[in-house]
Amino acid sequence: MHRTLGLIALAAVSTLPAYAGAQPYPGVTPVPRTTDPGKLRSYASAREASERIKLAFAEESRSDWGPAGAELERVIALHPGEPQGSTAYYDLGIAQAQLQQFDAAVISFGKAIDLDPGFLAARTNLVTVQLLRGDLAAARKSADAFVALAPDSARGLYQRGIVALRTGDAATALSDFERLLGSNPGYALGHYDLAIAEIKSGQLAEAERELRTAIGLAPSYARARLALGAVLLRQNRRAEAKTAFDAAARVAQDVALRELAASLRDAIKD
Amino acid sequence: MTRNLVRLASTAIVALLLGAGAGLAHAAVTTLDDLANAQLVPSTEPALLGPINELGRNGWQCLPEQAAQSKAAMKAELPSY
Repeated sequence: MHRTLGLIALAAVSTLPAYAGAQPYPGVTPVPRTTDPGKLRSYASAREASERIKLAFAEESRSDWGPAGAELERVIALHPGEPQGSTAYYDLGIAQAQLQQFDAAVISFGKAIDLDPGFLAARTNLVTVQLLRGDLAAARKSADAFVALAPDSARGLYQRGIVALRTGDAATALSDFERLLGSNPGYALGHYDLAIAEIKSGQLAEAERELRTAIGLAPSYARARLALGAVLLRQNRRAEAKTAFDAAARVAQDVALRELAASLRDAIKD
Repeated sequence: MTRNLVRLASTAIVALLLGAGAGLAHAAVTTLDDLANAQLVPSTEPALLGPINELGRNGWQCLPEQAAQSKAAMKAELPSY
């Protein structure tokens, strides 16, 4: 009886798919055992790099950028392998950017990418830092490389769209924001930036539609209301523009934006 | 003769004033349009993604790398209005 039950259980187990029996956790990493001085030095160096990155990570999480940067410089001096090498450069780039050392941050993110070309977080941060430096040509080149590697990345499409708008490339901005909204129709900022690209392309009716969509998604989006007023003014629809500026003044949280919207509203005479 | 001169001068002054008024009105319109158009600016760039721990970007909980590759705007740490 017991033997029959055992055979049935065995048969049932054998019919399970292979992944059902798979170990969900990785096996224990074997402890390296050696007396070779070179290998021992290499293990010690890797361990030191790992511990220093851990310390720097904790410091950056507390916004202690200076000590974190110093720690990461020491990691880089150890010439660690991957992924510690690219991670150290990436984290160093963040510390440098936070300390307004944008030139150094560009170099650090660039080195992280050299070590690990598929490092998308480094690529997007590189674009941000280049924008902060005001180097639009370099930002565009980096954004193009990012989008080529990750064509569906929301961040990649957004960043390249912003760079394209700032450089007057409305066609690329139109394409990128349309693709971004294809996956994210509820992203109000995407509709706003698509509208800006359409205005630059002379498509005022489409821009008005996108701005109204953005406002529908986010009624307190003052900048979108302000842009809508500007689009209506361009079409000489002054009464509607005045209403849009008035709405912007009422919803704006930012004092400067509120004053600006109110000034534009009051400048339109009935 | 004097009367004609006075009339001519008056007409010239009125014309000048009208011209100046029209110029001022045009300047006001230009200023309003310019001010409104100056507001048509792109959104801000996204903030930097945060640091990565010693496991590197392939760590299963590496949020910055996930944000960078995400197709969803909500997960990509993009600016909000």
